[in-house]
Amino acid sequence: MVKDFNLTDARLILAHYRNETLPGLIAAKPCESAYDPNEVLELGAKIVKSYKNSITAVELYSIFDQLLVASVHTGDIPRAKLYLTSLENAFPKSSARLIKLQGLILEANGKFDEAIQLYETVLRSDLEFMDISKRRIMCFIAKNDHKLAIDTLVFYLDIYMQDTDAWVTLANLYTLKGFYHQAAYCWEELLILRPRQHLYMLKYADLMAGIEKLDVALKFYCGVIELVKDSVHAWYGIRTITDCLLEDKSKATSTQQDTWKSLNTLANKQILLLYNTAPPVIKSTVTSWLDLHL
Amino acid sequence: MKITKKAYIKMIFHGIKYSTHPISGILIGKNKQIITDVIPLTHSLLLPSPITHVALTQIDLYCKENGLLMLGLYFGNENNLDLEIHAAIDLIAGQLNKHLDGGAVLLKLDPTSFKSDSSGLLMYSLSNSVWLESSKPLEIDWTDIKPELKKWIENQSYKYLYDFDCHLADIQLDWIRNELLDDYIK
Repeated sequence: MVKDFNLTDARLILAHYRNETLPGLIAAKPCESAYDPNEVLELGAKIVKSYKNSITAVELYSIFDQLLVASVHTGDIPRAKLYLTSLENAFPKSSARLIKLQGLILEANGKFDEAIQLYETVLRSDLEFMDISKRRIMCFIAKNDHKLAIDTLVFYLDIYMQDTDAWVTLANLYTLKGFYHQAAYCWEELLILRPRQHLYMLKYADLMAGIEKLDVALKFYCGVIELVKDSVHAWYGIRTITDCLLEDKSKATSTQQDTWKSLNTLANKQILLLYNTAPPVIKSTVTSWLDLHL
Repeated sequence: MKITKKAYIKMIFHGIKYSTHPISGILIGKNKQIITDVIPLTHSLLLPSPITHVALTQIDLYCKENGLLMLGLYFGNENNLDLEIHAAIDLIAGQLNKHLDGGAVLLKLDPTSFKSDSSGLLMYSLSNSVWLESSKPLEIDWTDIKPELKKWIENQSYKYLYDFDCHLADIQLDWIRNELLDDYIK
């Protein structure tokens, strides 16, 4: 399918990728990534080939940066190196941004130790570079050195405690190694930074339930519902947890039990409602599942 | 233990579609000798959480309705170099083994060993509570699959594979049967 190329639209799309703000026209479908490196390559290449003189130098070099990264994402390293050459001709050797891109290409070729050495030359100087610190940490992860990655990331977060991507990465590293309490701490920090981010709440609730903190998990599944009324994940969570809590009645007060019973019934009702429009085979499995615990 | 073309392709598709994520799913079959299908679970870290429990219970219901068994788990770590069986995978695979009364299988996707003459799958079975690499290899009719796999990857047929995570985002998606995929992988 060939679409007519529109310079204004193309520049807008690439700008949105840079600023991580995606307009409605490229809203992602569920379970598909919103970032399409092939789109960046197609649009960016056309701009730099035919419209170099219609845009500012700042925009041109930002687009080269994006094209380099997109080439790395699609595995086209020779192409990435071409863009790197254009940037090396325009910027001084000591440019941290340039070094980051050089390191990225080393990483793409599997040369993690060389990339780490390159990043450390920058980090040894007086200035702290967030991006380069992070790339170094990603190299440790890529080398499968989880302990070093965790230690370095903890040190990094002492300085850059607002970096949500870093907290998520640390949470996932802890979860991978089975350090669920430490992972929970990371999700708690994330919820302080982004109190209305329901996806963080879901991760936290799932984890809490996994380490038997059912009351906390229930609270946060309910918190998700307050934000997103039709979150089937949260309703499943509420239904499953209240089932567990109602089974072991010995420790609970009658008020607590009433609350759990009400939530359990409500979750049942909401799940049925949400699945009402689902295909019959799916609806039938879910109805059987709901019946299991009643 | 044998594995059919359909099951193998679905596993590989799951891995390709979410190549930068850890993946896992359930192995399905009529008996303990052959894996005929897979049901993809997640493309994030598998956890012993309520939502995993929901997915596994629903798969169990589907199996009982159709005379099938949950034969084990397949998984792929986020990092190609990471060949470890992490805590959660170990735990859930162990639970599946108990559910099956022994004989469950753990399959690991190993991208670095995925070559023209190798399926890229490592098979483990439980021995004294430890998952050990099986002495007998997984039987797969590789010559039947190889020529078509490349074609399907190039035309991105793997886009039509949906796991439970996808289903939670859009409940219209049939993550258990993935029948849409059957049209592409005849």
